[in-house]
Amino acid sequence: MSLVKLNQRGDLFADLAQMQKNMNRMFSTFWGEDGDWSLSSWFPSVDISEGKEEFVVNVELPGVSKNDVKITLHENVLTISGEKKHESESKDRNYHRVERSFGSFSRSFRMPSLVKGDKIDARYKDGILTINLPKAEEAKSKEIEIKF
Amino acid sequence: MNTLAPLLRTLDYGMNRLADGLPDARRGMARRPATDIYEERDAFTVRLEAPGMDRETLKITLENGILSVRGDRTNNIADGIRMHRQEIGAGEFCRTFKLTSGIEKDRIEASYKDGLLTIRLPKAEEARTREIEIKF
Repeated sequence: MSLVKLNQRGDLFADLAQMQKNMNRMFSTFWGEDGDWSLSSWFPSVDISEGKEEFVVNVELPGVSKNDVKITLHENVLTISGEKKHESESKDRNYHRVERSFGSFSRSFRMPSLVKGDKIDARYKDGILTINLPKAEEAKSKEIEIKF
Repeated sequence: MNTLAPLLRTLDYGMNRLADGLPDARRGMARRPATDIYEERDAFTVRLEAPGMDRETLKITLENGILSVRGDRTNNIADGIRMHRQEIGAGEFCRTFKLTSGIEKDRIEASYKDGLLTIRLPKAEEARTREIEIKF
């Protein structure tokens, strides 16, 4: 008979962390998203639309400074990450309601088809980040002419 | 020492309504904009996260001690556009907060920047925190 130590805190928590990671991975894979959610404290909402020539990704980032956002494209996976910082904190403030979330965020999306990495354009207006990703030539849908 | 009961109690009806009529499939639900309210010595500040609002629809009213904030954003999806992911809702929002008396109504200021709607409500002179000098 062997004794199993149940009280090894470190191991238990490591196991739980690993389990959470696996669950996250499972769900991310399911939703076609590659981000590691467990690292973020909040998640900006995202719209992704596809037109004939390009994909447009909109990200809700109210009160986030343009300099605190990073956009990368790696192997056709778009990652938007950054940090929403508190505005200047005054110690004489007495909060009556706190609903806004702050801290770092990261979201990744596999683009549905190949995009031109060097032609990506991003703008920030009224708290919405808009990223335009032109499709690569081979990814554009073509109408096939039928010969008679 | 903070012996003052909160001067501002918020009553949030949390109304979250769509524009008139039935929701059509392309129009998501606008969510309740996350709001922070803080108090400083001479003013209250209400700050809402309301990115991408149609500016002309933003409306703030103060009536019978109820501060109402409304706005609307449209999401016009052209024909031939395919949505792969739609988390940002469109439509109208309305949030209401109950204020205490003691606001200088004529000096309320509001601004909209980077998707944040900030409303500053200066306290009336009699509502400001005062330190009372103790006489010996």
